[in-house]
Amino acid sequence: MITYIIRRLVMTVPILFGISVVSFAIMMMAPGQPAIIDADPTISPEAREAQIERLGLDDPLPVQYGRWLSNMVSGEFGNSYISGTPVSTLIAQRLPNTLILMAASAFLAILLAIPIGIISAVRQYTKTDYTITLFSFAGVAIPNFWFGLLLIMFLSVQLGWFPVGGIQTIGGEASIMDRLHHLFLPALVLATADMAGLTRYTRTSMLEVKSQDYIRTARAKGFKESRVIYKHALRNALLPLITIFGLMLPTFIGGSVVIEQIFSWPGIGQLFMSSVFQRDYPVIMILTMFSAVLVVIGNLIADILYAIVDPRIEY
Amino acid sequence: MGKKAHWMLLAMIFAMGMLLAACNGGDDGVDTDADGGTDPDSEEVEDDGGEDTGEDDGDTADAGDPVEGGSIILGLDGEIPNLLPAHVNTTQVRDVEDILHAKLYRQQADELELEPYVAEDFPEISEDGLEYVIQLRDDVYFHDGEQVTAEDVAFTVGIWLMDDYGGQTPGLFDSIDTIEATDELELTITLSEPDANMTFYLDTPIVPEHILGEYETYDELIESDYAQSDAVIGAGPYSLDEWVHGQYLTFAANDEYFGEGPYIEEITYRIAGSPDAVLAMVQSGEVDVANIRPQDVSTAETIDGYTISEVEGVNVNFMGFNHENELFQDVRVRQAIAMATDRQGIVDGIMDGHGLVSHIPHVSGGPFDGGNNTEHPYDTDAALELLAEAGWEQDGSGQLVNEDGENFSFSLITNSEAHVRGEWIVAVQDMLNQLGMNVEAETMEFNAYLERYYDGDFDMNAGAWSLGLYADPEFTYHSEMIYPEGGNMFRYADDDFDALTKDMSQIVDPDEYTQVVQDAHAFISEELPVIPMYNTLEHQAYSDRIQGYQHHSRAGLHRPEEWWVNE
Repeated sequence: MITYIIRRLVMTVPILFGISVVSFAIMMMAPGQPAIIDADPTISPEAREAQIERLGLDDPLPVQYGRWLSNMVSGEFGNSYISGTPVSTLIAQRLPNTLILMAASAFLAILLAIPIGIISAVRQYTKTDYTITLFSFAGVAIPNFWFGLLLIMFLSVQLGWFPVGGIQTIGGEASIMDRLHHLFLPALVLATADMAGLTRYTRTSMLEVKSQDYIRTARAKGFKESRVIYKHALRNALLPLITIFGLMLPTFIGGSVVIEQIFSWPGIGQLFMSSVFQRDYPVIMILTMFSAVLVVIGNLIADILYAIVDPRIEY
Repeated sequence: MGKKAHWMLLAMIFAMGMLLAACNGGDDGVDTDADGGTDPDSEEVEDDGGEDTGEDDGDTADAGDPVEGGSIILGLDGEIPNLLPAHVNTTQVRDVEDILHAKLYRQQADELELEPYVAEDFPEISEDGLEYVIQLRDDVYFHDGEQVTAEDVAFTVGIWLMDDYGGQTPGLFDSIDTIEATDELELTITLSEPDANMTFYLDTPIVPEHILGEYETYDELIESDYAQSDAVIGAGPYSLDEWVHGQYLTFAANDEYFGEGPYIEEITYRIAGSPDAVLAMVQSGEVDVANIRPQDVSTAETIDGYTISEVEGVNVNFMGFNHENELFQDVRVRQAIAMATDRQGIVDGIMDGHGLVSHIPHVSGGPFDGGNNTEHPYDTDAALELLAEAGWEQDGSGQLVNEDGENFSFSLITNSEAHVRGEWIVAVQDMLNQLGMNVEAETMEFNAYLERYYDGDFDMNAGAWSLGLYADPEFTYHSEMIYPEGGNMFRYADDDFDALTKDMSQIVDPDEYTQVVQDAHAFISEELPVIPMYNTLEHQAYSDRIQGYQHHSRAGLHRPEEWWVNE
């Protein structure tokens, strides 16, 4: 097991290297110059040249990449072109907000999806099942920006139940309830698509397990149906979900880019959007790498967990 | 039991949501989002436009005498990255600077002209236009109690002249040879060559030398607490109290302020994630003032407790030609395209009437409009005649062809962030195609658009300029100013125009300068290096609590120190 983890960790190095090369190339190939240079057409050619030189953007791409890589490896993340702030500071300001949002939506997704999926499977081909299936597909199909706007429109603007955005009441007392109050809608919207997907996976997995011989044996022994389902079937049915959940991690990051715009949530998704539009290269690269690391780690954790819950699996 | 347990769980989660919903009573934060962010809706070209139409009087609400106290919230749809005045030049940053800092000169309340602010009067300019002497008021103090002196102004301008300057407006003060405090309150500037617009450049915040003077390089300055945190100090009507990045900035009334006011105790700028979020904040009453996009005006008008103010924007939408393209080298073709474009129809049909058709690439009726412009009214028959004269006739299928049998086809590009423009270029495409042209309208992301615009990789473009209080047509249309030498992205080269505007920036007499600008605009209205489209009308929603409200298209909150609130 330990050797497996070490081997996996070693493998992440070339993976991250590959990701960084591709991201860097794509970023540089995107049209346009950093906003710090391009905002003002009244700039004289000399001043523009000086700016480009100052930022080192006149060097060949491999040289720029090499410089970025060596800075990165030595822990120097550089400063944002726009704000002049060290990128590490920017991330420190915003990462906690994004993590809170991600954790809350993951929590919501799991908490809702698994029970609903089980119900759907247990009552296969009933009205309940069809209703759940309908809503699951709707949940997957509805774009979350649209769903978010809809909820803001009805629950915040019309009914006034929730704030329309932000992470806390400005100037108010910072209380846990206030934070939760602001968190609920964005977390719910971010959870929707994954929740819907997870429900479907749970259902399928549950149905598969239910048809196995040992379940029939359990029934034949006269166990109560609830015990058969929850004690015998559920544990095995949840196994594949662990992998799926590991793979869901990145979608939370992707989703947060959109959700944070809509709900004025000051997290790294918002930072990433504005950095992309402003071609703020140092920030874009760090955030991309950060997401890549999260994805890799998410997969790793899923694999390890899988081995832990399923004693048959050995690495 | 299992099923029940699950339904219970669902019910609990739902209940939790309701509980959270119920505890929303506390937030009465009123944010006002006044200003769009670094909105690529219009490029920040201070240079081309001349003047602002400062019609801010339309919506002055008043009820009795000002009272002190209270608070308001402004909603902004973009982040404030940095508050060093020389660094970032976005509308949001300027909105902050407007209330935080004092300047030598500022725009007048309701005219598109400058007025002295910290300066006693306009500069005394030597006959050769090279020496400016400015006297400062003696009653202006920074928020920390230190007096604002000529040293501070010289230091502030000096930031632009630093060797490692890395902000968005390099070269702004390049015509300055020396700038020094010749007395405590006397500033002397010597230029290396005359610069007609120098006074306008001094519409810039003054920062304290006694604090920032210790930083030796530009990099140190932008990384310092005085650019990045609530330590920022100015001499304006409000001081920065709290700055939570990405969320809000809170300002407190500066009791020592040298001008009128401030009356409102506390102003908060709340940062929203998008214009949609700003609108929702107005609808839910979470902000007191916010800018409203044209497409949202009808929605905003239905919100109780708010009034919508409308002012003429200091900007112009235009369609530019790439004059390297042979199609557009004949002035009759350009005029025909202008006449085939129903500009009033676009304003009425697509802009919901929130615009004024302009015949100059500037504010129609503003100081740089001499009134002697050539109009090209919508007239497709006349357009076809002009095209025929230029050698383009409709063939049997209605397509325009020249004698070589070539079609009249070209592309028209714009950026997708400006939704309205994306819509009307399609209308233009349709209008021109009906004439027998073959136009392809293309919409792309702002940076991609800018790159093609700068590189001249377009046939026609649709864009907008956010204008300053001055105009510099030489920079935008003179043949020696073709990009990258200057701002002539259109590769326009015309000897008469060149002769008209040559070295106009060295004209020292303001009236003479204005005359040249007006003549240049009249020339443009006839020769159409670009087709001026319209000036937008801009909208802001403000809470009915606010009294003495003023609105100006160039400011998020216009002179909020003179406002007050009825609680």
